[in-house]
Amino acid sequence: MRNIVTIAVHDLRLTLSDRGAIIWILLLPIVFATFFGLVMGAGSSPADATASLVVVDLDGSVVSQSLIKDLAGEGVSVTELTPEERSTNPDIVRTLVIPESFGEHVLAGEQQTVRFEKEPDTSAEAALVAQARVVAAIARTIGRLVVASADVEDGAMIPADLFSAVDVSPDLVTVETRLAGRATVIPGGFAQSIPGMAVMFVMLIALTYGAASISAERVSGNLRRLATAPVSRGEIVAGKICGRFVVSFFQITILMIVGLIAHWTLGIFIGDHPFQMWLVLLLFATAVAPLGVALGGWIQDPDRAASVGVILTMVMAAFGGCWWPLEFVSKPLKTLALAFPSGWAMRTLHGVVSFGQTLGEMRLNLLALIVFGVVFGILASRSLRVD
Amino acid sequence: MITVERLCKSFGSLAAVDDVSFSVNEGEIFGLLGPNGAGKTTSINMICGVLKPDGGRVVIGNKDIWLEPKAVKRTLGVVPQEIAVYEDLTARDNLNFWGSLYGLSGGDLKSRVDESLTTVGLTDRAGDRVKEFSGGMKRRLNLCMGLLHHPRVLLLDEPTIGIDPQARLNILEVVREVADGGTTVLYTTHYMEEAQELCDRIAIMDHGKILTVGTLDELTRLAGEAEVLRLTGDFDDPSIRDRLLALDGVRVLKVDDRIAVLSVEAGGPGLLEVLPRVLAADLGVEDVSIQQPNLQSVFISLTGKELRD
Repeated sequence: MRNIVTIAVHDLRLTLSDRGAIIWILLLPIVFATFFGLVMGAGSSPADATASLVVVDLDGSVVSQSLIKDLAGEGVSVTELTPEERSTNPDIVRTLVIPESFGEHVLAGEQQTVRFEKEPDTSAEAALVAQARVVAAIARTIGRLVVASADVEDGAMIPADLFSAVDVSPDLVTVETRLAGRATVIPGGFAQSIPGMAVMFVMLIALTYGAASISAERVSGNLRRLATAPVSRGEIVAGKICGRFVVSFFQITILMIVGLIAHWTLGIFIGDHPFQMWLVLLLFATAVAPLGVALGGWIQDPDRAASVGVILTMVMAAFGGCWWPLEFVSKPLKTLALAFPSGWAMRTLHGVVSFGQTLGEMRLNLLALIVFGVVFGILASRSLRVD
Repeated sequence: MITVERLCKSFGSLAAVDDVSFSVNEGEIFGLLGPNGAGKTTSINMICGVLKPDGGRVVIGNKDIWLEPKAVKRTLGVVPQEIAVYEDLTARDNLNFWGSLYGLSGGDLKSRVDESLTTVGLTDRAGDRVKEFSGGMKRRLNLCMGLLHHPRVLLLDEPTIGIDPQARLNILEVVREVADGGTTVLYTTHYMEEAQELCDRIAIMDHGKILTVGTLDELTRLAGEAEVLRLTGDFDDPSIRDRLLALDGVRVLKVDDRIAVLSVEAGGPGLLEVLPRVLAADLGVEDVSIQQPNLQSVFISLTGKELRD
């Protein structure tokens, strides 16, 4: 065991002695996660109950103002704009337009239509939440109309001051809205980019630096020299695998600390269970560390080993869902993702980060990662020749 | 201390090591001399337990290395032909790592590292990255890593390849000091001079076989204790070769287009008589050099070719 630890710690020291490695291990994952997080719609949780909405009130009656008040009461962040302000502001993504004479017609008992506008290529989930809040606010307004109509003759128009005076507490009609199911939400923003980039860069370091360093050690004769020391072949293989894992452990832990600091200071979303996320990433590192050793064992030339590591990483990152959410892709691609450890890792991380699942609920995913680790470990032990 | 019995190793149809046997006494410097490709490195790799032999066995200090590898390897120091060091680490970090693998730690490790660095003259550069070292310094560190744990047996595989004469002398001096301290040394080289200067006994190896084993005196006696004439000229004409072979009192060891090597037979007419005959034979000789019997002449007499071929 002592030899395994000595070799593993030595590998960490070797990796950290390369300044370029520090950039790849720590700096680039943070840069990429931030970039993709912002590109994919940074900010809040996918299940966020707060929706923002611009309201263009062309009516300005007590009824329309009551509706706007009810929207705020439903947790919608309302910004009132004039049609001119609305048309000149390019950042608006959702708008509720209340038509002219809306209040007059409603008080007269005539059907009215409000228009909900959503800009293309903006979050469908957030729009759905806002739409549900609008329905709930309309229901409250209808409740007030029902109460006010009790004091007027059938078919007569409800006086505006009577409508204003109505105090309905509790509300006569309420609509409760909530996100149903778990997988209906597609993780976006940092909920996708942080797990995605973490998985990709853990894999990149394990497969490129792992493979290239093993290959270079064989070329330089260090592996053969290692075999002349009182160290068994099994200890050498285990030490090399542990070495790659120790590098990943260092990488994952630093990235998680940075993530937590970003969460506390900037409000970046990293889910409610960062510790579970850390554990899943460590298990993923355990699965891919031996694959790096196996590649280094198979490929004689260090540069070629690194190139193959990069290609393999990119393929597994793309199909495993590191670049885009697996929830977004077709069923065959979802199935294909399960052929890669990255696919299982991303499924598990989405469960932890976006859907609030526990590790116990995802034990099948964790088992799959362990199986990958065992298979890759066998490959590593067969491929790593020291003579 | 080291017993090698009927060691064999083939790579495909090539018999890299073919039925090799020899033994090395405790405290002895034993040389394995042969040209590149003779099978020296393959032999060393099998002796130090890196390469599994097809047949035969290696016993070091009464233990078979393939039956008790860890126990034997603790007593071994190996200096490989390639400079097997981590270039991105400092000399001290390299030594700390290798020392740890041999069970050294704490103050013991530090004192051994300091001592080894002093032995090879690298104390001042201990904190520098190895990639900043010269070739000779890297070779010295390579040697240092094999000495760190005070091995009872030191295996050196061509440890002076590619370095300047001064650095070579330094390394030979260190090896001599280590042997004087009681360490058994197995030293492979294709430099005849190194084997002559350093080794108590020498095995000459070619094409995977041990051709002969003995002390320098014993080996040179094999060449007949005779001087060697090295002739330079145009010897591509077959008739010249015939005339060479017809000369009395000499044995033709080797002839090629430009070089002919003759040994003056012991008990024969002697150099003073033979040389005028050679020169008078109209062989087109341009230059003559006379060598005392040495490993080169032994090797030529055994293989018909020079060691550098």
